[in-house]
Order: sequence, then structure tokens, then C-alpha cells
Amino acid sequence: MMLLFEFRKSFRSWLNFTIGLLLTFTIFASFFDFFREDAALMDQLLQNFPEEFRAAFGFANVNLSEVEGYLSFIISYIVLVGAVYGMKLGVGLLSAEPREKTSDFLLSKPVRRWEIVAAKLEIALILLVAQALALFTLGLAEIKIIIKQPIDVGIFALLVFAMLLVQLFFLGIGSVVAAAASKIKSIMPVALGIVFFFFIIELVNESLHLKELTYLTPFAYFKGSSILTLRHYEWPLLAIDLTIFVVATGLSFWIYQRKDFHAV
Amino acid sequence: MKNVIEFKHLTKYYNKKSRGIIDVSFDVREGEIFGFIGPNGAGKSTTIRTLLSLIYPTSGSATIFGKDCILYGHEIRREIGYLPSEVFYYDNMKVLDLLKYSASFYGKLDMKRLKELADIMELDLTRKIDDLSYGNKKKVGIVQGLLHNPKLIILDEPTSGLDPLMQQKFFDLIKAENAKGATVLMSSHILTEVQKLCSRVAIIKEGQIIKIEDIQTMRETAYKKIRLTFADGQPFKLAELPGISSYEQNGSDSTFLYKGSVNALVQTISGIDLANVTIEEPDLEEIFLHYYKAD
Repeated sequence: MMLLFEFRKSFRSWLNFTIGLLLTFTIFASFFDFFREDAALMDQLLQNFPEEFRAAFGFANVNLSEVEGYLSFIISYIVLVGAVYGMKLGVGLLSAEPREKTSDFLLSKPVRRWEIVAAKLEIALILLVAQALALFTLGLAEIKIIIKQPIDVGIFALLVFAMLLVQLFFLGIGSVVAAAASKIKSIMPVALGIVFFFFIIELVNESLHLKELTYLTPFAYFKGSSILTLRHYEWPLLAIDLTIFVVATGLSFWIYQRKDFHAV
Repeated sequence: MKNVIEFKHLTKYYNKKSRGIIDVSFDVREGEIFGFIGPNGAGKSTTIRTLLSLIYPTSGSATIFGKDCILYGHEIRREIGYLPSEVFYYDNMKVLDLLKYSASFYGKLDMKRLKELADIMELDLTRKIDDLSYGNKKKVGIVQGLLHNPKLIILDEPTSGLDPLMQQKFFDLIKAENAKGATVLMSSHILTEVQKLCSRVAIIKEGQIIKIEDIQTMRETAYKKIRLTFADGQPFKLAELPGISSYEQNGSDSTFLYKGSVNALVQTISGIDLANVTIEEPDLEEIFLHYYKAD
């Protein structure tokens, strides 16, 4: 019942974000013909930008006139939007009771605190996986209809599920922030602030080629150019991503368990 | 008689400087309605919130039904009905859906009892929480607190927001639950409501319990308020009788507080030509002020 309740509460926002992601994907996909037909012109145009700029915005190592290269470019922006949603879920779910002043209702029920955290994280995982699956299946259909080019389904899966992996990172961080804060009045400013902080680290990383920064931001873990070259994720970075998710969610259980819920 | 709640040196500091409660120890016995009184900020809610493990004590402990309230919190809460002092629920839910959701934590939903309680409290089940007045939200709180037939009812300032008629219905409801065997712990800063319901009280001041007493004993050992009107309009000095305090003379009226043997008082005034005499029980307010002053 608690699961169903949390699901209902989060569903509308999930739907909005998922539709948003699909729309972004559709709009980008419909530009592909333009990029392909005028590849030479495009290349020339891009050459005018400084290399750091091209690197920062994901144009540097991919060929935008090829379908896989183009998709990896689109996905880097899809991942950003997805990351915001992952963060919003993480921050939103565990801070809901103090924000909506319903702590007294939920926490005076015969339920353990870890069960509350578990239910909320379970819903978050279900929503994120469902979102990735929706993007994967509908994305494939769109590629067939709009782009009309054969693609490697495995590579497309790697690209789309990179979003899920980045979302897990932010879900974990968001949960810790929410568990630790006594009250978060409004979710989006916090979520956007943290996600853009990590995105800026990635922009700096891309343009300055600082190897150390790669480990600090999830946006560097699953880059399109690397997926296209390797045909798989970089295992150490995947391990870091999942470790951060596991440690962060573990930490949020620990903090939530010890937290005082004050009168409103 | 068994103790349902036992507070053992319960202390809560929010931080080094901010005192919540200090060394609170008292018991609530099975089947009684126990009052917990003190002014705002004295620590009533802190005590209750610790009992429900919404907050953790700095030191000391509390048991409910013999079990530690933190370690066995989720088990114990199955038998507790709690009405917080400020009620907030999920705004976009309908009252009935909220009550069903609340009931789902306790197992089976008893629709008959839900309807009964809603009827008594005159609560419209079809309305959205967001559209309810504060008083009506309080009624939702009362119904959700009592719905699962709790063995222990914890009420934190229960009557705020309820009109006098509703307060009476609510008190009748609590008395009925108590008659069926439920133990009640009720905090309040309004003394008349404690007086109406409770058999024993604990008085808390600045985080510390200053007195635990039977309501009955409290009244018996307390002062009586006496007003004498002299027939001849002449003042009469009573001040020499031991036990008299706060003596005031206003024309032919004398008012004073008296503590001591009633016989001695009656003998003393029997020789006076009186037009009228009233002997009143002081209300808890006056007793309460007395405790506070004495400290």
C-alpha cells in the first residue's frame, strides 16, 4: 500500500519528464537528415569553433553525419535531462514528509524507518528503469521511422542505459542530501544546482583533458565517443558509478534511521 | 495495576543550548486518562514525540507495554492512536482515501467503525483534505487516530481548532474508548479540559516535571475560595485564622483563599452576621498558578 501510494504520488512527474525526454529525442532525431546531407558544411562550420568548445559540447570525437555518432551526441543531452530527473526523485522522495508536514502521519504508523526508505527507493528504481525502457523502445521506433537508417541495437541500448546509470548516481546523491537536510522547501533548485555542478565539472574535464576530473563526474563515466569505440562501458568507471550509488543509498538509510523529525 | 507507559529519566537536548526535556520520569497506568499539563514550550510535545520515536532521547528511556519505545517502536505503534497538535495530511487526497491509507498500516479496514467515527465527528468523507478547515482536519486526525481501536491513545493538545460542541463530542468519544479499556495520555495547556477528563496529571515546567498528582487530591489539598458578605455592611477581620491568604476587603465583601480545616472556618464565621457565603473549589488554573508560584 505504501509502495502504491508513493508510486501514485510520483507518477505524474515521471510522465512529464518521460514525455519531455521523448520529445527532445524526436526533435533532435528529425534534424539528422540536415546533418547528414550537409556533413561537409557542418564540419566546416564546427571547425570554426575552438577545439575546447567542440570537446565540451560533445562534437569533437564523433562524426555527426553517421547515425551512431549522431545518436551519441543526442544522448549526451538526454542524459543531462535524465540526470535532473534522477536527482529530483532522490531529493524529492526522502524529503517529502518534512516538506509536506506529513512526518507525524507516516512515522507514527507501525512501520520501520528503513521500510519507508526502501519503499521510496524501490519506487525510484522502478520509475527510472521504466523510463529507460520507454526511451529505448520508442527511440528505436523513432530511429526506424524518422532516421530510416540501420543501427546496432546493442550500441543504442548502451547509449540509452548510460542515462539510467547516471540517474542512479544522482538518485543516490539526492537521497543522501534529502535524508541529511532537516527540510527542503523546494526540490528543483537543489536538484538543478547539484546536477549542473557535476555537468560543469564535465565541461571543464572535456576542454582541459584533466584525467582526475573524469572520476569526479558521472557525465564522464559513459561518454558516447567511448561507447562507440569500445562497444562496451569502461568497466572501472561503471564500477565507480555503481559503488557511489550503493554507498550513497546505504548512507541515506543510515541517516534517515537516526534523524529527528521535529514538530512543524 | 500495570503501567502502560514508563518514563525513566528521559532527557532531550536539541543542541547544547536548546533544552527539550530534562529527567522526565512518570508512569501512566493501564486504563487511566492521564493529563500532561504545562504552558507552551514546556516540553509536552517533546516528551510525546520521543515516546513515538519521532525524535530520539539524549539520555534516559521510555517503555510502552513494557517494551522500549525506540527498539520496538514499530511494534508498539500498532497499538497506539496518535493525534498530533498540528495536523497535516496529503492535501490532494480525499478524506476517505486518506483514512483507508492510514488503516492499511494496521491491517484490515473496519468500514463500519470508520463510518461510526465519521458520523460522531460529523466528518464529510468525500471532501478533499486541501478544502478542509483546520477544525475539520483535526477531525480527520481524530478519526484516523481511533480507527484501529488502539490500546493507548496519545493526544497532543487535542482540542485546538474544535468548537465547544465538537470538543464535548470528542471528550465523550475518548471517555467511551477509555471505558472500553484504552489508556489515554493527553497533553494540554487548557486546564479545564484536563479537569473534565483526567484522573491524574503531571505538571511540566521548563522541561521538568514539577508535580504528579491525583486530580482529586489536588483539589482536596488545595485552597478553597471563600467570599463572605456581611449583613451589617461592617468589615470583619478574619485574618487571625491560620490558613487564610490573599485576603481582600471590598465594602461589605471579603474574599480570601483558605487552606485548612473547614470546621475551624465554619466555627469562626458562625459568630458573624452574614448576608451570604460562597465556598468555591478553585479551578485548576488557580491551583496551577499556585504550583508555579511556589517554585
